[in-house]
Amino acid sequence: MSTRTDAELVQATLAGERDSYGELIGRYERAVFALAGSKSIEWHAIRDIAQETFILGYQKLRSLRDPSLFGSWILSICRNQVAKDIRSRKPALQLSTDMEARGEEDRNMLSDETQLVLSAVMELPEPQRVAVLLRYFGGYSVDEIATQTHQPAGTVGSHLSRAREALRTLMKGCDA
Amino acid sequence: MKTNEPDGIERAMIEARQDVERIPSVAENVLERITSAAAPAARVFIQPSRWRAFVGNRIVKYAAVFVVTAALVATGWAAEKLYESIQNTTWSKRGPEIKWSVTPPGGKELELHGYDDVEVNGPGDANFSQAQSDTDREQREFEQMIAEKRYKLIKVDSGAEGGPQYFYIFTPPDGEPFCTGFSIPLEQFRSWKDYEKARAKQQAERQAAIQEAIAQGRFKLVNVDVIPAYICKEQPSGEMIWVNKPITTQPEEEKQVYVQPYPLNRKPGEWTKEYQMLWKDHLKAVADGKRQPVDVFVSKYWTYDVTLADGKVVKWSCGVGADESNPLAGKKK
Repeated sequence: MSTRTDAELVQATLAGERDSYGELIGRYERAVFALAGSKSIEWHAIRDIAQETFILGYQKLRSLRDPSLFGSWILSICRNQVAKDIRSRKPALQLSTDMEARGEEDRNMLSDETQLVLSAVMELPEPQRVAVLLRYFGGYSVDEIATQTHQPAGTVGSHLSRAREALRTLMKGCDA
Repeated sequence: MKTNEPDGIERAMIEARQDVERIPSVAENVLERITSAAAPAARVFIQPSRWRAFVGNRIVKYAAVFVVTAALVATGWAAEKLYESIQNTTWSKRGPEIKWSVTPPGGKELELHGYDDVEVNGPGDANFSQAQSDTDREQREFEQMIAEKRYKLIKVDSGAEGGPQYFYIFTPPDGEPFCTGFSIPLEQFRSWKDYEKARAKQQAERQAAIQEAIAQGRFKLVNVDVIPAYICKEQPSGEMIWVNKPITTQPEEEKQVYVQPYPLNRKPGEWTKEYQMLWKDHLKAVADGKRQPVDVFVSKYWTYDVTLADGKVVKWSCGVGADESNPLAGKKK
């Protein structure tokens, strides 16, 4: 990964450098997968949502007022895509307890435990959700998230702390 | 999975991340789709104006046609990547006419001309006066940013005409950044007028260098394209339009056509509204009786590699009617 900032990559993309957009995708697709995975366990469905998210992001890139906010911006697009996807197709797959029935297909699905976690993340208020996605799925430090979201590091830390508390509550009773 | 211990959530997150990381990346698919669909990205509200050469033995009749052909090629084939992104309505202002000529060895003089047009990317529902006033304001802002050197060089790429193209990001007062390219680095200019003078000089020097190379036979035909354009009548308005089908490698159903008012003759300073639509939607409009084809005009666009005196090879193109042969055929050494 290059040392260019998100803002520089956005600007380069606007200049026609598509590879720069590929780099932005590389930075945020795990977080986008995680968000998309909150409503589906099948890889293909998750990837479809992620693709639509990044294509829409590319098309709307010029409307991004502050290029340094690309990360939280693309996650908000993804959240809308997830909501749209839910409205436009059959209900998401129910969690399966019949592991044998899933057989080989299991390789191309998220685990039930993962979807449980992701579903809980989806329920968080937006600032907490973005912080969690960037921290745990984007792999960013608190300071980096602070830069990406234009918030003090202390505020990000507070979001993460509250998010963990909320997740404990949301996931209570679901221990394996 | 334990989730009620102090580190239970952390562990659950790590495991979830490891699971998510098994999903194959979508980056390649997205970039492929962006490329094939020419999805819009860049806001390019001021196009660096460009002109193209075309053979003038039928100038009076076909002048505008060839300009359109050139613009089309620029949009769909030979121009910078920025051009690929334009799908919206554009407003085009007719610039001054530029004339020059080339004479291949042992051949007759070929008169060439083009127009130094300016294209403005505008919202689809913009009316003429709004687009005009917006453009004037944006142009003032743009010139101010040039004078105050409020821009940032972000990359240098090869331009459509063979020379380098310098891309800069500007952030106007409305806060929405945009990018555009220039054939000369901006930093050395105090004003937009200074840049335009330098660019005109650069163009004149380029013309002279190409004239010399062609006169000495240092050129090679590298491509010829055939571009159809359909003259149609909109129904029920009766408005005549010119529908260009560009040269692209896109699948037929994804091709965008370029629609302009017809006839194409315009006076300097005159604005026209142009837009793009899917080729399949054009066909549907015809099938539905909303658009009536009246005629088709086919032109050929000839492209050469021209070797300048300093050994540099540049692309040079000219458009002719479909019944014209290679304008430089049999003339090169």
